[in-house]
Amino acid sequence: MEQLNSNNLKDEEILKLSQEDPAYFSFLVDKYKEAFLRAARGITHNLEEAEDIVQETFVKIYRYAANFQKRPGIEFKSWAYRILINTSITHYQKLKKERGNTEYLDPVLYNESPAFAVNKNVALEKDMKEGVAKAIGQMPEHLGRVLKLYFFDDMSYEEIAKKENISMPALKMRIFRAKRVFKKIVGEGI
Amino acid sequence: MNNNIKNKVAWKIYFVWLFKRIIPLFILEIIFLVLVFYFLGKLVFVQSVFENAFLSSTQNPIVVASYMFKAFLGTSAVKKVVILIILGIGTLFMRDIGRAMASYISTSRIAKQK
Repeated sequence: MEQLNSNNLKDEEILKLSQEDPAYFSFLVDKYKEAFLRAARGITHNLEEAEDIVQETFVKIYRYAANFQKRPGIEFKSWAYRILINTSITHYQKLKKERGNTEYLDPVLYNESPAFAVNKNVALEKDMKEGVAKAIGQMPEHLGRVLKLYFFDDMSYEEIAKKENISMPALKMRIFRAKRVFKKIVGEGI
Repeated sequence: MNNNIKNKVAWKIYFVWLFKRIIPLFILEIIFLVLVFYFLGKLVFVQSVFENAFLSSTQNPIVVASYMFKAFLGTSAVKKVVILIILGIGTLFMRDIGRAMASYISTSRIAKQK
């Protein structure tokens, strides 16, 4: 096991090997823990909760490895991120029940990667909305507007493209830029 | 902090593997061994075989093994089959114990990594 050079193996192969010897799974943990932690922390804004989510995600990945192996053509990375996001949502819903008011960030800010195409059921809390509105107010008007339409008015890409009279690729680019600007403003502290 | 995650995940994965892959095998092997031993007990008076082995050996393992082998050769075909099944399941049982221990050691090493 120690002589194994994990660089020569695909994630899928490591996952398969780990079903016979669980020690192999540590290669996947090493490879993805930082990224998972960053993603989970971005969603929860809480390190302890993010750590719990990451642990749960790895266990689910291992436990449901057979499901992944039955789906050819699906990349391990996107499958793993999907589990991470689903686990985050489940965690969020559980916390919301327990605490009543949990502050999680809207998926619109975390869908740069296709793996982050989180479903819209993740609710925004009131104070979060206020913070977002504040940040949007500081953005260039055309960027803030598209983000607002998507973020607050819950409009689809198609509807926004029609309203703004721009093509879909142009809208996607504009939203992408808007999110970058938004993140920068949020990073500076709203 | 992140190694803490790795340690916890390593142990969780080990126990998932143990309960999913090894424990069910252990249970099956033990059930089979008990059944086959029960069946063998009806065919052979096992206690007397071991007593004779002990008496003829003066506790030398080579003599015991030789006596057992001769007893095996001298027995009927059905008994031979039953004994071979026991040895087979016993080997699988030992192999699984070995796997569980080897994996435990690997997991401990991973968990200790800084």
